[in-house]
Amino acid sequence: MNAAFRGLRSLLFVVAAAAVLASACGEGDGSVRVFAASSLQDVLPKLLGAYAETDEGARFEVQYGGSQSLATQIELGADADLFLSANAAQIERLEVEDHIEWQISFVSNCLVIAVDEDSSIATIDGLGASGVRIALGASDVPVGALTDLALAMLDPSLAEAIRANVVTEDPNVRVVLSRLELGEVEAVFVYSTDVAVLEDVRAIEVGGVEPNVYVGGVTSEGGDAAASLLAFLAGHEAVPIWEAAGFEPLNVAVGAR
Amino acid sequence: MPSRNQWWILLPALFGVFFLLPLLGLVWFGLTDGDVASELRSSNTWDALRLSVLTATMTLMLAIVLGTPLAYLLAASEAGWARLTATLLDLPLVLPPVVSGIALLTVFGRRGYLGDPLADAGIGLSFTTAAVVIAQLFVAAPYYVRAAYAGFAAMDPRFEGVAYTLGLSRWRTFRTVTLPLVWPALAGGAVLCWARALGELGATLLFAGSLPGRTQTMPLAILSAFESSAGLAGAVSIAVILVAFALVLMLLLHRATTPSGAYR
Amino acid sequence: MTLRAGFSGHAGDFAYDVAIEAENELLVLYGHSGAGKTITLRTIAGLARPDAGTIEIGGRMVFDHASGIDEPPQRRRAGYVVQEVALFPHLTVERNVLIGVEDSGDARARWGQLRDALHLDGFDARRPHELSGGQQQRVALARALVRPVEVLLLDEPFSALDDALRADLRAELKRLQRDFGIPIVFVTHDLREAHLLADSVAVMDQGRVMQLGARDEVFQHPTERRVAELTGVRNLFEGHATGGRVIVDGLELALPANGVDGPVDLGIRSERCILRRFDPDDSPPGNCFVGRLVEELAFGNTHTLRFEPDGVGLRVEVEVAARPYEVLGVAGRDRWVIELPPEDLLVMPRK
Repeated sequence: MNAAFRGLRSLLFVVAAAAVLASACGEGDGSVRVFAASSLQDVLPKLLGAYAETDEGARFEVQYGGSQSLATQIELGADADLFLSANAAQIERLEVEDHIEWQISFVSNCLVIAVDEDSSIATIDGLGASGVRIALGASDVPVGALTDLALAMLDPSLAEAIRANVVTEDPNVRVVLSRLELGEVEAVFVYSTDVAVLEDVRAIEVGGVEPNVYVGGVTSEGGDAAASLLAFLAGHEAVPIWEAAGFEPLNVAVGAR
Repeated sequence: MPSRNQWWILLPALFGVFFLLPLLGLVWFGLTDGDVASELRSSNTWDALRLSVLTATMTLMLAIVLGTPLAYLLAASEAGWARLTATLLDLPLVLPPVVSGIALLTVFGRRGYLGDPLADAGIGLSFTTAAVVIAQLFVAAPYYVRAAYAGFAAMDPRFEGVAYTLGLSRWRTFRTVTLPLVWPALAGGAVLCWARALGELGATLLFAGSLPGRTQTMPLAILSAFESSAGLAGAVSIAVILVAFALVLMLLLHRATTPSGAYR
Repeated sequence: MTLRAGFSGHAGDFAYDVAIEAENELLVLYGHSGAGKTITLRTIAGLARPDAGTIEIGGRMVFDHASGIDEPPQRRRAGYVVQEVALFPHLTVERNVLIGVEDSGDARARWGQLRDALHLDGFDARRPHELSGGQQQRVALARALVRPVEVLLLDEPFSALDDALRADLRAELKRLQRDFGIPIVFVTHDLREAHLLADSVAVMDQGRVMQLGARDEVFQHPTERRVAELTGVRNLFEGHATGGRVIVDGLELALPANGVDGPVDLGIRSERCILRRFDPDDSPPGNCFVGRLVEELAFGNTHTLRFEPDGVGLRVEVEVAARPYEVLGVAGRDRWVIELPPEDLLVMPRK
């Protein structure tokens, strides 16, 4: 019994040490490190796959997150070559501090209300009814900021009724979406692209707000590989893939430094 | 004082420093780069803090009331089911908190197994303060039950036997003989449970949501601040307040639960 | 006050089937480790439940499997003192003793009596860890007796103490038994202690009581070989008895006049054998043979001598006290005549 116990302890020690070492050597060289907004989680792998067909040997490491927190990490010195933000403000913020070499807006996405396919809610007015549970993003998250703008455009009593039905203000759009998926709420304010991903879900238009523009920026650390990728994402080869996912490509060549 | 030859004492000392330095770094960062003062003035912060302390304490109360008899029964039983149950109770420790949150939803959520019965009874659990307590209980109670189970199991069962032959009822024996003997183990478990409940994030976010005043606990407030324009500095400022409060309350809890007097 | 118990059960793989009885006396439950002595006490106390049987304490039925009676330990009125004491470490001596009784005048008076009887004055406020082993045992005894109990169950209470202390406590225990007039069941694996304390003895082995009777009866008239073995009979043989005589290994022996015939186990205690100087010219009396001394164990107050037969005879172990050892001049002579007096031979029918 004692010998077995000692053996087990040594084994655990070896495994732990190996895990620590392995994680320390996690970074590959030569891959383009991409920080991308969470809402790009489903479409980006397809785009990267298409890019890889044109440039064999290209390798990518992608990290997803809320645009705010990704920008903060870059600010603090995280290794990123390319930043795909769901919010122009984040790129601006980094550009002011000289973290961005070159930027371009590449797609836009609009805010919608997502409900179950067989839901009785047809317009935004339906959200004010009692018993309707709503999830949104917190005000300081891009999707939440957009939602606040949209609600501010509404009749004040409707906006108040809708606010009263809000049960949670989540830290990122994926969590917001999960509320509908899990059936915990009747309606969520998310992006049109999120609705495209789910089955049995219908989108209701939200008027009065501009579409959300995605801006990509090559960081001061990024090199040609990153710039080349960004050009691809903003170019016409990527258009079909974007549209299939519900985004609207902008094809605007602007913002070059 | 350790003699010169006890060089190996360097190892635990370094380990202690490993824990201490990041905490000090955090506090320093918060006080210099952050704006702790303004966060202290923000009612949002106080709401979150009050909610955190309230829910964590409720979680601890429930863990003690429900978990102590469970731990006692598990320790007293020699049957196979006891071992199995004890192992199952450890599972929440392994699950990532978000997964625990989803697990709770599959049972208590509106589409969960108990969703309809609860709705019929007029009980809506998700997105309420009660849901915060339930989520915290799921992830933190195992710490208490483990410690209590170990405590009861380590006690010599003859003490209870002798007490019975002296005429003490089971309840009186538990109160006057068993509890004092296992008290240190229970206290240690209680501190762990409370601390874990206080720091819980993923399960409460998924199961209870995040709404200031109702379900936004301190960890969620910190996350929110991090994701916001206040960014890192804002998050750390709130974190510093949480650390300060937690430290004071844990010290008090420790004091209250450390056994006085020496008895073996 | 009597104790009458007959029950059977099992603890894990260990099966036990026990029948004991004790009146106003000290009954020693004697056997090796693992014989089932502790489980027997625990069952009587109500801490273990047998599969069948009855237990009657002080004329009151406390357990009867057939009629579903099973009094909890709280109500059996059995005092129970375990090995390693189990005084509650977080309570003072006074609280330990009085914890099970109402804080009434009667209880305190009884505690006062016991305190005097057991020399525990001045210890009231002390904690168990401040007491010596012997003092802790006495407190445990007082605690068990401060309630009106009808039987006292002691599980090797003195095993961890030194000899002088044990002697004192044994004397106190006998005195308490006489004063309180209740049966005491005392478990021990120490043969000398068993003999010293017992009014009656129950010899246990492998979960069963092999023999129960007055002390002298059990020690001098074991009913079977195993009982003789357990009670310290070192010389055991097999033979076939016919008409008051038996032949063992070629040696003919006269048996005590009790008329047992057929296959028997034969035994004689080491201290009952008689040693005589070997004189080739002498013709020794009956039940004698010549032996060669092959091993000697000097215990100080006695000597244990082992003999191989020289010619026809038996291998025996003889115990001789110090003085006779000297007088006989055992050292230096290797051939001896060993006599096995018929009246000391233990004859046990073999099954």
